[in-house]
Amino acid sequence: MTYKEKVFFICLGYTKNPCDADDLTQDIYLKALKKLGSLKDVNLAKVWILRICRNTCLDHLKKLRLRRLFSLKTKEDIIIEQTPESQIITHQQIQKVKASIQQLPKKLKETLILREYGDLSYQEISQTLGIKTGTVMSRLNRARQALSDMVKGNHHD
Amino acid sequence: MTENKRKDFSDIKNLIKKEKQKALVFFKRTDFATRLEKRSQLDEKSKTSSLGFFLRPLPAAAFLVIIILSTLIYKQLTSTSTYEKGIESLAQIMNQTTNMESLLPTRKPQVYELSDGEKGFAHLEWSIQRVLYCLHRESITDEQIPIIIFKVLQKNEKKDLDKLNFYGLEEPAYLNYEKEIQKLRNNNNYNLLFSKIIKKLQEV
Repeated sequence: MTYKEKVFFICLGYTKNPCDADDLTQDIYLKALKKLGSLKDVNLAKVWILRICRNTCLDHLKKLRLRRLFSLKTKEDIIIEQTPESQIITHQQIQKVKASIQQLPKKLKETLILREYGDLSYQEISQTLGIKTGTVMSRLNRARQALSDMVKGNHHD
Repeated sequence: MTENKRKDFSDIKNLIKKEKQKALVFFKRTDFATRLEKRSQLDEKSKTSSLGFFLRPLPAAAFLVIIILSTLIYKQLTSTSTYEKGIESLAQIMNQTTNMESLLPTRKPQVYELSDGEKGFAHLEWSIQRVLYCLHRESITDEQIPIIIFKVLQKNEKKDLDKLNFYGLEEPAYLNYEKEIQKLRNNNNYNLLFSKIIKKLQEV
């Protein structure tokens, strides 16, 4: 997996669909190009870009809240309308999981997305978020338990 | 994590994996590098354009705030206090004041009665007339009235003061603002005078 794909997957965790994730990835790389001067140590480039990725995704979520407020149609709705029925069920299951992830507390959500979507190691997550590795493991455990409970609860509904 | 929950989570993991696989197909179809380059070029263009800076919301808002603040500070620095404003207005409308005899207070104030009797009193009447007219024009509070009147008197008396200085005489005590303002506040005559002024204003 290239680093570009890693960043794309992390964005996918924060967004509803691949289109938004792709746009967000572009934004991140554009920001990284502009801020290249602020990178002091090339060895820290990975962590540096992951931090830009995380901050950009959080800004995106804030904008999304505003869009929901004004009930604007998102690209997500358009994609569902165009997808054949056979694929809708899996898509809906995936959307349920994503919706549940969005409901997680912020700290658990971002740890889970970095791990499950970005495939980052505990070390990489700890450096990106600026927390200890032990804390990463603890948050991941709690996030997984909470997510399982939420998704299972949704299925029962 | 219990065994059941591990199983539940592995199902979730599989769904996430499917989502990622599908998304990757989409991502690989798009020409990421070319689009990034185009966006970077567009971004550079808008940066170098002279109006581009002002079209961005944050710099535009900051610029507007600076303009507004500068205007307010300038106005604050160049504006005069209410008291000076009152005196300025008095000076401006002085010549417009006509037929103000009806607004004169009926009781003669004693503090400013000069040894040069009638002349001093006439001077005071004229000053008070002007103040009354000014109060009518400007929205000045009751608390400010004695201070404004005193300043007007002080300004008028300056000519007399200059004369006194010319002749080497001492400054009269009543021209000391700090001392006299306290007397004004405590003086019953002036309290009566001002209440009459306010009453007359209301009639006018």
